Amino acid sequence: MTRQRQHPISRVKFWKKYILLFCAVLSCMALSSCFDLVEQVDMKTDGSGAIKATLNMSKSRSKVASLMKLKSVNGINIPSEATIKKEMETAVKLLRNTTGISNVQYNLDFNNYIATISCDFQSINALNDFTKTLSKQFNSQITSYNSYEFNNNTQSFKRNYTYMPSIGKEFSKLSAEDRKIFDEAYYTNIVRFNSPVKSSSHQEAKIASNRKAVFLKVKATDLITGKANLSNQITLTK
Amino acid sequence: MQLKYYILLSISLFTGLLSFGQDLITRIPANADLVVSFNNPAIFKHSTFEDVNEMLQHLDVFSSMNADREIDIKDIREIDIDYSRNAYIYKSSSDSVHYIGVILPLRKDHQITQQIMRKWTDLSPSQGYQRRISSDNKMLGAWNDNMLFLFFGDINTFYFKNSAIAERYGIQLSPYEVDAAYPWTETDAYAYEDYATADYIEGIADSVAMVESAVDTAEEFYQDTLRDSVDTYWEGYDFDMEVDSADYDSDFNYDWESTYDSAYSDSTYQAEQDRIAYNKAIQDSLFQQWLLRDFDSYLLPAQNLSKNKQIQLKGKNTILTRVWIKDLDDVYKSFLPLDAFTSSYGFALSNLNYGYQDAIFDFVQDGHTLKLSSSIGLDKEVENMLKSVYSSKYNRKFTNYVPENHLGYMTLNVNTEAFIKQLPNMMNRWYGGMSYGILDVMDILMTSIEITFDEKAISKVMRGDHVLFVNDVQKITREYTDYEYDENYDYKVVTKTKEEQVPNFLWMFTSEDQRLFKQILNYGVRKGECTFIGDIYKLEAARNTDSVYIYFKDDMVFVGNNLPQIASIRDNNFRSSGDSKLKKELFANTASLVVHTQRIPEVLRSLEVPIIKSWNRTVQNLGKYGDMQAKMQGIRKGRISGELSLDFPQEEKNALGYLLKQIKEQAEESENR
Repeated sequence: MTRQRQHPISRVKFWKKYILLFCAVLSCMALSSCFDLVEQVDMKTDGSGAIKATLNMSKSRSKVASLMKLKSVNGINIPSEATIKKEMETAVKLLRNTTGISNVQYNLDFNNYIATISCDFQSINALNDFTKTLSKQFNSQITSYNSYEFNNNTQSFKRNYTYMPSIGKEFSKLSAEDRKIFDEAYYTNIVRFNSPVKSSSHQEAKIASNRKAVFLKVKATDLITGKANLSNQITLTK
Repeated sequence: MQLKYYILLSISLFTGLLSFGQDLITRIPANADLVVSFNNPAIFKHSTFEDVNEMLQHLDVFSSMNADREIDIKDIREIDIDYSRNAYIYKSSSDSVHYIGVILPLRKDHQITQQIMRKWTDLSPSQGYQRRISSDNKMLGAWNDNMLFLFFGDINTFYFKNSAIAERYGIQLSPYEVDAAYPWTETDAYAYEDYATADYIEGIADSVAMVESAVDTAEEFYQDTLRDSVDTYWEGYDFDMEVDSADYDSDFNYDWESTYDSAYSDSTYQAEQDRIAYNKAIQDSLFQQWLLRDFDSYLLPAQNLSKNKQIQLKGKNTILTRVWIKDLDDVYKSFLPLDAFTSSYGFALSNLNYGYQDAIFDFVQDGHTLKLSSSIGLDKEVENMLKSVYSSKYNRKFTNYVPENHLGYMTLNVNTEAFIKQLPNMMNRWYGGMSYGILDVMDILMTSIEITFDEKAISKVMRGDHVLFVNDVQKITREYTDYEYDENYDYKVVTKTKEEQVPNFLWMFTSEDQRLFKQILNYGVRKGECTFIGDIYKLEAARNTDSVYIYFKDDMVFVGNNLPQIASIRDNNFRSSGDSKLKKELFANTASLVVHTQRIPEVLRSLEVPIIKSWNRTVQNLGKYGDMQAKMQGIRKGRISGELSLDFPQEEKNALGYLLKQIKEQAEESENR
């Protein structure tokens, strides 16, 4: 049996800093706003694969553009375009130096405020190493509540997720108006496989018609308040 | 005899009563170059002692007064100042020293010495006034039944940088200071000739005595204090103290011995510190002697500013405080690094002359409006130059295009033709005197301008009158990127649209000759940078901005980002505001900025502009305010004037009351944070 204990998934980690930043920044706004974080993982049978993460704030680009003109809001520093580019370049450089990670691509579109990053990974372990590196780089604890496992023998894919009440606590400190900004914010996770999916344990997750993908879309507020759980066990047909 | 006695007594009493109630303006010396007048009756007519006390308490004024000046009060009425009369603060300057005088009216039977100056030393009375001196000998006080006079100041240290003056007073100049040119050396030389009189010679004798005394003081200070402290310092230092080598990086092998002569550095540094301390001791001693010498003449000045109508506030019930400046150019120059520019670049900045003369700044309370108004006198030459620049009139046709709903507007009216014509004169006048080298370059530059530019032709392109309205917000459709998923959850990127609110503006100016603009725009059309549809030019939107539309109508150019509005101008169906007062106001000033403050929260909300948490309350409060205005009037009677004003919410008795309440609340908020 080649069951591997998987480390936290790096893509979530990678975006954490910017998600938090944008959430914090957006939380300063009085009216509702929206943004989407879309994660797409293409898993191969041998445990290698590719990921692509996209943070799309184009629907709120006017607001983001006005925020970017400020140096700080409510004590939170707003990074300049140059800073974001520099940070992204540093992160990409780290990724490229991570064993098992290749084909790292990124794009920062400051016209529409869409950021994308993608890479190939040789194994989930490689991704986990990369996650660790970034976790250290961005000084984050996300690895403590989110991780993946992949069992090559049983062809099962598992996501472990533990809700962190501290996030909800911080969220509850925001005013009701500020919390509204998350009303239209979503997190979307798509995991694709070469083999058909036999089952998915998450009740909200949907299996594609061709049974080769699992789709999960949750409201950001449900994630923050602990209403939604991302834990899922996907079993593939052998 | 008895009758004579009673008549004399009656006259004395009457005179005494008169002098008791009189304004203390007569105590401002004629050589004051800055006077701040506090119109106490007006201040306390528009506010209450309770409000002022509360505000001062929250701002920690009382506690800092207690710490600094040994005054222990919690209510301004605990100091026996007569708040029914004006108080004054003035500053007078000479080359060597500047003095500050504070003139406070006192209540009858006051106990001022019990309230302030408690620990000061008594001096002999003079001219009917009791006198005291502070413990550091840097402040003097004199009082009688009627008033308190506080007198202090400081030395102008740069005065002593001149080698002749330094030598006279025993100041030790460092080598780099010796050559530093002192800008008013020539003036001093003339002054010596003018004052070569018996009084002056007597004064010199006094000065010599003062110098001797000052040098003695410095020597004493040097021997007793400096040497002692230096010795103590070195003695106290443990040279044999062992250094823990672990604290240092062993790889750090800097060659201290060859690159840094510590003995040289220590001795040079110490010598410099000694020299500075020695000079300071002389200067301090001189200042104390000058302060004491001049005290009496400032207490009862032989000539005063009581006839100066610009300082008088009698009957001006709306002016709370007035600042009068004798020569604004002098004040401006006092902030410039004259010595550095003169010695380093050869620019005689002291010759800089904008032609500003006296200036008055008033803090005015007018009902629910607070104003800061200013009026600056100009010399004849500058007045004539600026008069022509500000003389033209606005295009009256602008009144047909005043948007009904707008957040604010800005106007500017400068006569372009006169401006270009006067530019060489202005540059020569303002900067020409600074250096011969600059004057030559300036001449060439200005002659080039005269030859190159045809001011008449340029003024036809843009006359110089501008009106800009920030309109209401408008709805626009914006595109954004979204994702659509098929049944296999493969997604594709799609473009969707949403409605957003954006602010729009309308800028209009007069142009009789529009060929240049049109040629540039047509070139842009050919290059694909803009389009021309229905007689309206559209400048394509740059990143994260909106498209801008330009339309030419008669002798006017309209620029805006609201296409329907520009189109309505073209189609002659623009709905202009019917507010005649507004239309009159538009053209009343050379330049103006008016913001309808009460509309700001609503507009910010609709624009979804982020508000910093600490500003939330302030922004919400703006909804209760009236207009905020900044205006600059043209030249009238040799003066240029301007005004900043804000209409406060009508929740309190008046604007001052509201302001005091706001300061108090803000202070409370900070305390609670």
